[in-house]
Amino acid sequence: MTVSLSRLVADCRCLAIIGTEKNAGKTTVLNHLLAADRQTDLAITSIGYDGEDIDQVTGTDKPSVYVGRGTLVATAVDLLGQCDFTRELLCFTGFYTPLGEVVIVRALSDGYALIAGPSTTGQMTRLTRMLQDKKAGRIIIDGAAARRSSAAVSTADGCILATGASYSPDPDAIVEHTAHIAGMLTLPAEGKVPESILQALRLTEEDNDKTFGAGQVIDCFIVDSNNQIIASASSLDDSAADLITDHKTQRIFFIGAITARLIQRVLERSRSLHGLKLIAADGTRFLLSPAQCAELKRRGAELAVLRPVNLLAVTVNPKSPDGFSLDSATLRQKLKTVLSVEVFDIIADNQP
Amino acid sequence: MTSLQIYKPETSATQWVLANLNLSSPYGRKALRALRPANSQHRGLLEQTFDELAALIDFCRRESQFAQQAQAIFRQLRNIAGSVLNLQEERVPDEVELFEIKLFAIHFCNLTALIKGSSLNLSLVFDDLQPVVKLLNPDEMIISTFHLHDSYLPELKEIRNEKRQLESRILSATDATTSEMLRKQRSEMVRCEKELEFRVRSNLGTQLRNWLPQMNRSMETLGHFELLLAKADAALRWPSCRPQLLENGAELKAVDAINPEILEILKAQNKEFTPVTLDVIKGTTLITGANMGGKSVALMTIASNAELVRLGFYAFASKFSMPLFDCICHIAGDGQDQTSGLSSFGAEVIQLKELSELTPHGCGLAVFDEFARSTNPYEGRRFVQALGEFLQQTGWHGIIATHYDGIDLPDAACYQVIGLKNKGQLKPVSGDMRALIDNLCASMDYRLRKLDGQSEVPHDALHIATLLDADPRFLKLLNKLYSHTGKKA
Repeated sequence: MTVSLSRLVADCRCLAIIGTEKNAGKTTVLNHLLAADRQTDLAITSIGYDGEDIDQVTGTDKPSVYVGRGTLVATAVDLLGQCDFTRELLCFTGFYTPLGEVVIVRALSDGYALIAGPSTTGQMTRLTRMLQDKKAGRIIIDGAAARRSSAAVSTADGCILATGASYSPDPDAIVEHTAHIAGMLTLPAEGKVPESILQALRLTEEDNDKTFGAGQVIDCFIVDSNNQIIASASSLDDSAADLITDHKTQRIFFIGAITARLIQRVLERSRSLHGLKLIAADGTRFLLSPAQCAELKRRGAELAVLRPVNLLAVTVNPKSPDGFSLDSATLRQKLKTVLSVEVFDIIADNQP
Repeated sequence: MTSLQIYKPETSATQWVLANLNLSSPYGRKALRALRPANSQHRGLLEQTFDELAALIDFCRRESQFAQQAQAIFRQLRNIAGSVLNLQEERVPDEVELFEIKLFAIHFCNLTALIKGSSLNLSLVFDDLQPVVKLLNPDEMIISTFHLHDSYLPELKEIRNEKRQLESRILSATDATTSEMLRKQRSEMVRCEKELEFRVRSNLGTQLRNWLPQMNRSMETLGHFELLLAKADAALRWPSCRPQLLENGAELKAVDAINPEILEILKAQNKEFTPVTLDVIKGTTLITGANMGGKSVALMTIASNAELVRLGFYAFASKFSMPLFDCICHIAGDGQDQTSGLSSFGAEVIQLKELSELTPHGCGLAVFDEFARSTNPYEGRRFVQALGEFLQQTGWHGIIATHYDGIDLPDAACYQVIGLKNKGQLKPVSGDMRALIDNLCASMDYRLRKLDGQSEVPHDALHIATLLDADPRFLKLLNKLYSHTGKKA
C-alpha cells in the first residue's frame, strides 16, 4: 500500500461515503477517517437516516460513529438524546426529517453520534454552506446505498464507494456489481445542457425527492442538436419508450431516475441505438442492471451525466453479516483489475 | 372581538391583502388568525388601533431602517409555544427546548432594545426577558448558542474533566482489550454526566417556570406588534389614508380608492389602475355601465376597503370615510354549487335570504354584482328593481351594479362607467387575444360619472364584441338585427 486512505482523501473539502449495499462497511470507513485524521474543523452529517443505524438503536452491535472533540455534527433533534458527547447547540437549520429538525451541534468531548441529515440535494447543499459558515474546514457526508445517494454525491467534491461480501458470497459477483456502480458514478459529463432542464432539475432537488413517482410528472426530454427541447414525456408512461425510439439519434435528458423497466421497453422496440444518448443528473440515477448497460452499449447508445462523481477510492469489507468471510487479498486483487481507483480493506490494512 | 371561528374575508381582494402581508414569525401569523372585524360597538377600540397605526406609519416614514431591522428579528423567531407548554406542564425541558427559549429571549430583548432605542411610542408593554437570557447564559458574554455549562453544577465540571482524560487514554490505547475496558469506563461516566445534566435541566425548568407569564405575554406582544407593523407596511406600500369613522347612516365616501390586488396585476402589465371615487348612500346606490367597464372591480374595491377598515387597516384611497358597519356582504353570483344542486341564480336568492336575516341588527354594507344576471332580462329587471327598493327599506347601504334597463328608484344615487372613449376607432390592430384585450382596455374609460337623473344603460355590447374581434359572420348577423330593431349605436 503506497498511500493511506485518509491521505488519499485529505484534500477533499466535502467527502461523501456511499455503499454498494447495506452493510458494505460505510460506517467503518467513516470511523476510520475520523480516527485517523482528528481535525478540529471537521463536520459530519448524513443523507437521511440509514436503515443500518436502526439496528444500533435496537442495540445490535453495529458500529456507531465515534466523533472527536470539536467536530460539528448536523443531526436530527430526536437523535440528540442518543448522542453521548458533551455538546453545544449552535443553530437550527430549518430542514426537517422524520426524526425532527436537523440541528448543528459542536462536540465538546469525544463520543458516539447518531446522525440523520436532510435527504434532498437542495437541502444538503444549503447545509454544507451553513457548516462552512460555522467554520467547518472539511465535511464528510455519510451516504446510503448508491441508488439512494444522489444528494450525497451531487453535493460532495469527492466520493468513497464501500463494497463487500454483504452483496454475494461469490467474489466475481461482487466485482461485477461494484464495477458496474463505479462505472455509473464516473460516467462522462454532458457539456451542452438546455437551461430549462437545469432549472427543472433545481426545482425538483429543492423539493422532496419523494414527489417523484407520485404522479405522471414530465421528467424525460428529447433535445436536438441545437439544444432545443423537441418533445417530452413522463418516464413512467409507456409512451416514453416509443418517444425515445422515435428520436433515437437525439439526446434524452432525465430529471429523475432512468429505470430498468423503461430501458427494457426501449431495447424491445429497437435494434440499433446508434446516436442515442441517455443523460441523467448523476450516476446514481441509472437504475439499470449491468446486462442492460452492456446491451445499450453494444447497440451503440451512450450514457452521460450532468454531474460526474469524483470517485476517489473503493473500500471492501470481506465479512458478510450472514457470518461468512471472503479472502480480502483475492477480492481486492480482483477489484483492482477492473477499477481505475485504489481499493482498501480498512480492517485488514490496519491489523498490526 | 373574539370568537373561536377563523374569520373568512368576505371579498377576495381582502383575502389577497391579508395573504400578502409581510408576516414572517409564527406569532404574527397567529395574531392575523385571531383578527376579527370590528363592529359599531368597538368604535373606541378601533380608533385606538388607528392612533397607534398612524404613529407607527409616521415613524416608519421617518426611520425607513426600522421596519427592516424589526423584520430581520421576526424572521429568526421560532414557535416556542410547545416548549412553553411543556414547562407549564412541569416536564423537565430538554436541551433543544432550553435552546429555543434562550434564542427567543435573546431576539425578544433585541427587539425591545430596538424599540426603546427609537423615538417610537407604543401602548404595547414589552416585558424584560433579560433575566431569562442570563439564566440560560451563565457566562459573562451573551452568545447565541446553548450549552449545559460546567458552571451550573460543580460536579458536572468534575465528571467532564475526568471523562476527557479517559477519552484521551482511549485514543492512545494500542490494544483492543485496554480500549474496550476504557470504553466501558467511559460509558459509566457518560451515564453520570447525563444524570447531572438532568439535574441541571430540571433546575433550569423550575426557575424558568417563574417566567411563564412573561414568556406567554411576550409571544402575544410580538404577534400584535408584527401585525401592526405589517399593517403599516401595507399602508406604505400602496396609496392609503386613515379612514374616518362616521355615525350610522352617514354616507360612505371613497375618493380615489384602489384595489391593491388588481393594481399589482396591472402594474406587472405596465398598466395603471383607475381609482374609484364613489359616495354610497344609506339605501341604494346604482352603478350601470358597459360590459368590461370595471363595474365589478369598482364594487370589489369599495367592499374590500370597507372590510379592511373594520379589520383595523388604513383604507387604500386618498380619502375614505364610512359608518362603522356591523356587517359587509358581497354577492357576486359566483356561489353556484353543483354538488348541492344550486345554480348561480339560486345561490344569489339564498344569499339574499341570509342577508335579510342580518338586516334588522345594526347597519351594514351590501354589494351586489349583476344581481339576477343569469335569469332572463324580463324577470331580471324586476328582481333588481325589487332589490333596490328592498335595500332602501332595510336601512343598509347597498350598491347594485347592473346592466338591466329601466330601473326606477327615485331616491337612489346613480353612477355610470364612462365607457368607450372613441367609438369611431374600433378596428382591432391584431387578432392576438392579449392585443385585443389591451386595445379594449386602452379604449375604455373606467371612471364613474354621477348621473343626476335616472340610470341609463349604454348599449356598448356590440362595440365590445367588435373590439374583441368576434367572428365576422356573427357580427354581420348581429348588425342586421341591430338595424332591424333600430338600436344600432
